[in-house]
Amino acid sequence: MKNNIKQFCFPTSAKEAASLINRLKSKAVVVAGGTRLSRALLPTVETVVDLADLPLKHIAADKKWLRIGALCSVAELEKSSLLGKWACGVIVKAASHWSNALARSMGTVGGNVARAHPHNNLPPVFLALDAVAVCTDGRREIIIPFAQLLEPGLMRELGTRYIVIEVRVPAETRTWSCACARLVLTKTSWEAYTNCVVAVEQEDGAVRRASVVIGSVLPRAVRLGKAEAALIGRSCGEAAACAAETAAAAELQSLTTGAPAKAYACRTSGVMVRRCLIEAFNR
Amino acid sequence: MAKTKGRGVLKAVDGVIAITVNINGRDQALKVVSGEYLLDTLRREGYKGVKKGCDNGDCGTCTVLLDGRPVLACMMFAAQAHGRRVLTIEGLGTPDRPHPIQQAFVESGAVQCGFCIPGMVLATKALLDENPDPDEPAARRALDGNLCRCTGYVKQIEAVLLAAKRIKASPGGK
Repeated sequence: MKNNIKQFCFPTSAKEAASLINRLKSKAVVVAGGTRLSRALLPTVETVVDLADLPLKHIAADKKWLRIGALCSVAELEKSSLLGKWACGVIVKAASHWSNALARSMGTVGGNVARAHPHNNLPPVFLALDAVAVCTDGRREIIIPFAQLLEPGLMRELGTRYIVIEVRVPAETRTWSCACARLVLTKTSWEAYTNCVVAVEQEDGAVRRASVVIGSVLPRAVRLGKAEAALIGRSCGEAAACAAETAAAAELQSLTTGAPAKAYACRTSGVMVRRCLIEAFNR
Repeated sequence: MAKTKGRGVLKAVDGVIAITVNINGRDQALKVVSGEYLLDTLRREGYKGVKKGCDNGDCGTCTVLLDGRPVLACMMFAAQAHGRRVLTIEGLGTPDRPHPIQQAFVESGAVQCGFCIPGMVLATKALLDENPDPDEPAARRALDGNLCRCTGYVKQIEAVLLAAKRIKASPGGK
């Protein structure tokens, strides 16, 4: 029981919610799905800002973007027919990999992104799809690319200064060849050894553009630029996938500064990159 | 009572918050300690079918349906349920007139110690409300957050499929 709580607020707009947290600062906390936060409140928290009433449960596409409301549950992503057809259904697949049915029913996109724990499934897939997050501080909306959003400085401001409103994925990614995979102890394990997402834009059988993202290994999901560079211009096939595997493992080794504890994760990440690429090429 | 728009602010007076929750179809005015979890409130109010297992969101035995959606009662504050509908196992059937899901669990021999069963039955209800004709993988997936210490998750899956068959065959499909 958390006896320090003095009030619960149920704002009806993101602007109202963001204004509240900016006014109350460390005395307030936002809860969306509440899968983790409700058990980990700091003693300073006196106000719980429950976002459940915010009208942010949309999944829609227009000419420019695929828009996913921050309050969509992970289960709703999993069941969306629109997402099932988008980028080989990679968002649906990443959502379906997440923990268990109850966690998927409670957990939200906004929470998964704003509390971007290294094992969360959605940040890597949004990073691979060049997505942006639309956030508000109560006065204005700002658009933050995922590569920037996952930086520790900004991450600390989500839920304390900014509220995530929606995630926007560029419309052009609809036809990208994508795949994702996790290496985990059991199907419902939240923690993974590695979490891999690849997104490839093909042109005349060759790789025109590629995203290779690894989650779980480092404190935040990262794009592996060297693995991506190893793919550009090459024909979509096993040779390109093997080159990316080597580059990915080496890049991760350097990012983990060769830490022996991470050696297995680096090696298996390389393998996952190759497997995902072959799967994506065959789509 | 449907989830109300604009639930406003709930303030604690002497550490206690007054909330209104629709539990099993009946609006109830409750006084809860501000930081109390829904699980503890429900059990204190006599809904002992909501079991306290891990108390940490891992085991699923405290599953209730919040506005029809399965949630872990140990992972949300009671005040968050203000203005919303909660369904516990007590609201599903009675010993004299069990719900078809409960009947299917009994007939399939899916109940051993029974500790996990309320959560499993409610998870099954959420599944069948949405997908009246699940296959075995869908049934397994829907129950993958509900841990059972006694069995190998075979009989429960059989029970889910039997319940689906029974409900489909019943007049009105309910």
